[in-house]
Formats: sequence, C-alpha cells, structure tokens
Amino acid sequence: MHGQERKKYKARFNDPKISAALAQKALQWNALSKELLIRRKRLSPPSIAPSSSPPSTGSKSSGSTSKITGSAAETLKIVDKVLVVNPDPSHLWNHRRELLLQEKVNNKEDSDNTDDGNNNASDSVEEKDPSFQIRDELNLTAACLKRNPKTYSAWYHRKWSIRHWISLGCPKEGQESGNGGGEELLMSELGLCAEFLALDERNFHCWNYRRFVVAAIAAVANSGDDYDRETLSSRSLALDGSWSWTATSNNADDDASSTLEILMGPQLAAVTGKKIDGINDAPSSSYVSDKKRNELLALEWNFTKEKILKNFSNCSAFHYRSKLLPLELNRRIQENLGTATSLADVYEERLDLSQEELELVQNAIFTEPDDQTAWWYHRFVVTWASPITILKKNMEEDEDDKSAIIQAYLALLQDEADPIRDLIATEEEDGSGCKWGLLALHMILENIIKLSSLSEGDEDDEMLREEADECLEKLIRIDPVRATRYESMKQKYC
Amino acid sequence: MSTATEKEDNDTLSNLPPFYDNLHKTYITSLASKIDKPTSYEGAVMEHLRMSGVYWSITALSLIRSPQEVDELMGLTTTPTTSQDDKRPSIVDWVFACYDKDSGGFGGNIGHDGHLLYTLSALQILAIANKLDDERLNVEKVSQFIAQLQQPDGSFAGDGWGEIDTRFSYCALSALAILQKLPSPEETDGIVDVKKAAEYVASCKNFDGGFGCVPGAESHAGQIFCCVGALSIAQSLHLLDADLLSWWLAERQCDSGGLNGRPEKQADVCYSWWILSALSILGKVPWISTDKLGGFILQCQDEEDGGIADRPGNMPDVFHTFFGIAGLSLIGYLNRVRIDGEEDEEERRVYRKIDPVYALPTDVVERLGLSGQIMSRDVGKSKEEDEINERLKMYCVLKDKDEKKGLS
Repeated sequence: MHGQERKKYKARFNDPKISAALAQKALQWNALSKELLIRRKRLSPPSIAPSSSPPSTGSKSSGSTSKITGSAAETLKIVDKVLVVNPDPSHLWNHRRELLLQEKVNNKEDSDNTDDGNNNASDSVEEKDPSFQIRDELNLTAACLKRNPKTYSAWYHRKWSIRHWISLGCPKEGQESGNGGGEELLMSELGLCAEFLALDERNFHCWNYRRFVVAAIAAVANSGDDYDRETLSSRSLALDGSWSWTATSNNADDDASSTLEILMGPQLAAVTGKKIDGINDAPSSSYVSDKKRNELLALEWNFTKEKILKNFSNCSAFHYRSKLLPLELNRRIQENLGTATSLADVYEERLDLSQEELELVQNAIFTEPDDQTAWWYHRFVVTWASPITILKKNMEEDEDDKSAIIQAYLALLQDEADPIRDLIATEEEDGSGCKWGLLALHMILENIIKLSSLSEGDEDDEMLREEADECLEKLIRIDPVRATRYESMKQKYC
Repeated sequence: MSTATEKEDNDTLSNLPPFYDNLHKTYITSLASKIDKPTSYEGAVMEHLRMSGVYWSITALSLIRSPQEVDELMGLTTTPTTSQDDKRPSIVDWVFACYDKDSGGFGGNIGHDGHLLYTLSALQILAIANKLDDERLNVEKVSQFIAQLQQPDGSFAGDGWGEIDTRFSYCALSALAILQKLPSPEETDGIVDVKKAAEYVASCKNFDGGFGCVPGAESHAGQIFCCVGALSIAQSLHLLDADLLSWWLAERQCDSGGLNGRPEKQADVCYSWWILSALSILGKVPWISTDKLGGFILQCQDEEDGGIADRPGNMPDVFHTFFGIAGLSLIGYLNRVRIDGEEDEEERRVYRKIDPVYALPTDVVERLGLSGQIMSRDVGKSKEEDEINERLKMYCVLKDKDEKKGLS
C-alpha cells in the first residue's frame, strides 16, 4: 500500500483485533458492492441453491426469475454509503449518475394504497425517485475528497454535476430547473479550491478543477438578467472546462497578432448537440464579454501571485501563471494600445510584463537558490521575452525599430546576467556551488550569442562562449549525475 | 567500458541488497489467493482496478520467469497450480468475464463498466498470454468502443461519461496497436485520427517541456510517459521539445538516486518506470545516473516477504513491484545485479526484457510486430545504452534535429 511504513503496517495486520476489524470491513464492502451490481443488473442475484458457482459474465441478467428489489432512492443511499468509504471506483459514480438521470416513475400510478380519502399519506408511501440536486452532489464529493483529495472520479463527478446543473438553468435548492444566474455558487466553488489548496498546494486535481470553475463562471455570465434558457442550455452542453480565450501567440507559425490558443483544454467531453455560433468557433468566442474575461483573468492572476508570494516552491502556481501570461499580455495590448499597434509598441508591452515577472521570481531565486521551482519559471520568462520569433516573422520592419527591439532585449539579458554572476560567486565562496544559477547564466549567454547573429552585435562572442563553457565545466563538477547532459551542451559550440 | 570500471560497478553493486528474485516470485504468485479472499481489505479497496492489478502482476512475473512458468504459476491459460480451489477460472477466462457487452470495452472487474484503462490492461494480458486470437475477443466491437471515445480535438474520453485525460490517449493508441487496428498517421479515413490524436497530445505541452492531463494541466511524470508513449506510437515525436523535456525528466533524480514525479516531491519507485521509459524513447537515459537509480530500487525491496515498495522501508504492493522490476529491467540491472541465493554464475537466469513503449515483454512486442518511434540511437556509449537500443531495435528512429542539420 502506497506510502505505508512497512514494520508498522505488518504489525497492524498481525494484530488480531485490527485484522478482524479490517476483515469485517472487507466483507461489508463486498456485500454492498455485490448488492449494487445486482440492482444494476450487472450480476445475477444469488440462486436459491447455495452453490459456489462462479459469477455470471457481464451480460445483463435477462430471464432471471428472482425479483430485483429496491427503489432508485434506496439504491442511491447504498451508493452514497460506499462512495464515501471508497470514492475511487468510477463505475459507482456511473451508477449514481444513471440513477440521477433516469426517467421518473409516475408515482401517482402506484399510490392507490396511500390516499385514505383524507389526503393523508399512509405509512407505506413510495419514496420519491431521486432528483438531481447540486447541493447533494457537492456535499457528497466534498465528503469523499476530504478523505481522499486525489480521487479522479470524485473530482470528475463534481465537474459533471456543475455542468448538469447549469444545463438545468442553475436551479435553486429544491427546484428541478432554474432561471439562470449561478455565479454565486460557482464563486463559492473557487473558495473550496482555495481551501483544498491551502491543505495541499500541489494538488493538481484541485488546480484543474479551479480552472474548470473559471470556465463555468464564464459560461453562466450574463445569464441572470438577460436570461435565455436555450442559450444557457446550449452553452452548458458545450461547457467542457476549456478556455477559448484570445492570447498572443509566440508560435512561429502563427500570425504575429493575437491568435486563439486553447491554453486550458477540455476536461469533460462536450456533449454533442446544437452548436451555437460564437461558442466553439475560434477566435470569435464572443459570448463572454471582454469585461468578464478580464475580471476572471485578474482573479486568477492575483491568486497565483498570492500563492507564489506565500511560498516560492509553488510549482503549480508558477505553471498556471505561465498559461495566464500570454492572456495578460493580450489584455494589456488591447487596453494600452488599442488598434494602432506598431511592432515596437507591442514588443514593449511584452518586455514590461516580462520584467515584472522577473522581479517576482528574483526574490525566490536569490533567497533560495537551490530550489529549482522559481528557476524553471525564470528560464521560461527570459525565453518568452525574446523578440527573435517576432523579428523573423517581420523581416520587412523598419531597421531602426528592429535594432531598438534587439537592444531592449539585450539590456534585459544583461540585467539578468549580472546579479546571477554575483550569486554564483557568493555560492562558490561558501563552497556549495550554484547549479541553477550556472544553468540560468548559460541560458542567458546562449540567448545573447543568438541575438548577435541577428544584429551586427558588438558583443564579444568569443568571451561569451568561453564563459558559457566555463559554466558547463563547473556544472560537471558540482552535478556529476547529469554530466552527460552538460557534455552534450558543450558540443553545440564546436 | 574498461574492466576497471566494471570492477568498480561490481563493488558498488555488492554493497547493495541483492535482487530478491525468489521472494518476488513468491510475493507475486501468492497475491491472488490473498486478495481474492472476501476478507481481504486490500482486495476490497483495489477491487475496481483488478484488471490492471492482474496486468501488473503478470508482467512483473513475466520479466523474471519464462512464459511457460508464468502460465503454470499464475494460471494464465489454465487453472493455476497454486490454487487450492480447482474451480478457479484461468486468468484469460476471468478477463473475458470482465467484458462489458453494453459498452464494448473491458471493465476493471466482473460486472463493471467498460473503460479505456481496463481495456488496455485486458488486451495487454491477452497479448502476454498469446490469446488475442481467442474467439471471445470481438476485435471489431472493442475497436469501435475505443474509436467512439475520440473527440473532435483528437483527445480521448475514458468512457461514455466523458472524462478527458492524456492517459486515455495512450491507452487508446496502445490498445488499437495491440489489436492491429491502429491506422497510420497519414490515414485520413481510419477508425481514429492518429494525427489529430498526436496534435492534441502536443497541445498539452507546458513551459517546462512536460505534459499534464489536459492542456493547461501541470507537468507530471506519469502523464509524460503517457504522452511520450502516445507520440511514439503515433510516430510523432517531432512534436515535442526533446531536449527540454529530457532535461526536466533528468532533474527528477534526487540525492537518494530515486526519481520524483514533479519538482519538490519525494522520490518514488513508480517513477523509475514512467521516467526511464520516456527517457529511453527520447534517447536520453545517460542524462541520469542509472547506477544510483538501480541502487534506490534495490533498497525498496521487502527483504522478508518480497515485493517492492514506493520507497525504502515502506510496505510493498504489486503496482510498485511491477514498476520497480520494470525499471531494473530497463537499465539492464537484472542481468548484472547480485541475485539472492544464486551461487553459480553459469546457472544465472536470463531475464526477459521490457519494452518501454508498450510496457510488455519485448518478445511479446516482437511477436505482435508492434511499431513505435524513438528519438535516436547512440551506439556503444555504455552497456545500459546498448541494452536499451537492443530492445528498441525494431523502432523507427527520428533523427535528432542537430543530426539533421549536420551539426553534431
């Protein structure tokens, strides 16, 4: 069993009391598990003769003469019970969803016993068929996740439930359909994410769920005041957790201007159905207003910053930020530049944003230089700030403009290199060496060298190459485990 | 490699625990009777993924025993010799009992819903048992089950309920390959669009070169194996940034020699497989220390009862036993390491090898003629590399970008 200390675990299992208790639990589980399969008609009910015949195959038990007992409501109660104990089995969640979606039995047909003429229901009134209530599903999954915060199936059911609830029009408690709205509940889901992340900031299930909720908030936006049931229903069918938001691409093959990047992909399959213009089409996913999108972007941008400032080792927050970065750039370009955009202006926005991000990581890398998390983001930002791709796509641009852009990036690189050189020197004095600093410096030097091939650089390439090589030599000494990689990097300068 | 270095290696190896071959064999073969008891707590908790559990145990045993021995010991195609209850079905019979006619896929256990995860495990078991031509296997239906799960963007859902995850992309492509139903990437009219599947996987690429469950999800070594494996099967390794990813994977090696799954996480034996197989495909195994990794895995063994745990001192389970043995196999350790109880060098058991793309013994992959792609093939740099190259010899090679440019 994952993560269990061996001596302790074996001792526990050899303890007859504990062993008996666990055996009892296993028997209970197996009985309930079988019961559910029988109710679902996946297993034949036990035959009358007590034999040890092997279970039937997975076919439905048509032709069985035993009565399949139990109402849907009853079955659901059993499902609840087992899921809280073990939320991992996806087939149990499937069963639950089937029960919630099934056609309601018309209770009135069976109620001839129940009305004694005084409109008093007798004791044997039939239980109502279960109806989908978002609160129930949120409570159940929360209970499961509190015990096991990493269960794929429980997180998935939560997402599925939210979508289903939206498709019903975000009904309020006790209702079966609604009139839109729903943002309040979704915002409180973000609160749940914050709680879970406070317990384990690296729980990727929770981060993924958070991104799903943001997509859901975008889907229900504007659905309160100007409510259009059909549109909301269609949007929910297309709600798959993806963000079809416009971002500025750094991809050499794309248009230099804004382009659609599916930065956050679907987490549920979109239910196939009527396609509504503007929802799935790139790049004009126009049903979400810019205002709303920027609101959500700011929310997430600030959330990740908060997390990073609290703990520099938060790789998950840095990762999320790396996805938000192109969106944030796009927002700034739209806000600050409008439609009149020169290449130099656009690049300046990129540079400014990069420098802000570099300030954010600098605290981390200089405070805890051995923690690799911030260094990965540092590398990403330095590379992302590079104008090389943009320049290659715009060869016909004004030479002065191009030169100014290159100089600006060079300045950024120098500004990064110097403090890192100092850091390396300090760490070397202490005797520990600075692996990540050396890797970063090497990367920066490589970028400077690459740039000089674009401009008539007066950079002394030879000296830079020597310094880069020296970095690799030092790395081979202080990190021999990865020596082969450093050797292979040397060869690039042959 | 000089003899001096070899001697060094042997000295280092002799400081480590031996490979408890016989104990692991006993651990694996006694699992079934333990877990299938209705009083088994572990059995109850793992009931829903039994199909995968069986795949892990069969494949682990297959690496340390011959096909005939595996069949006899585990009752792969006939009733097991270790079973007291001679009504216990063979594993192959049990696999077919888990077939879910409604969906067309295999469930994790009898009566459970068909799902891509367990469909792959079932097919892997049948492949090892050489029973893919069993008349009970409806190749068309199973292929349709898989094909219907592909989404317009190339991704795959796990089942009809719609969960999307790159693990399922790997399961789908691998399963179809085993069924001999995988179209080539160029085919526009095949039952699945392999090119789109590959492009979708590539869209999950992150700032560190790694991959997550969906586009936007953070890099994780397990997902990375699935993505690299999927791209290999789809002959589309050119879509990833091999250097950056290999570097990120190499940085998973901790001081203990073990590998973690993400930065700042603890080393865990299962990453010996996820990361090592990915590095094998990328041609970058030398970027980690296989010696230190091998040492870590050996230390995760349970020297009393056999089996391998996630880290030293912890309780073993079949999942980590499989990945630990697979990891040792992949770095060629099984043929070099001290075997517990072995006296005679000449009687040394010859171990089977595991294939890093399909996670099946290489002889099975060869028998089925499965294809894949690897990054490059460096010859003669080290024993481990030769070892890995040997088992990847059937795969197409994507030339390193540098090689193409003639800069190497």
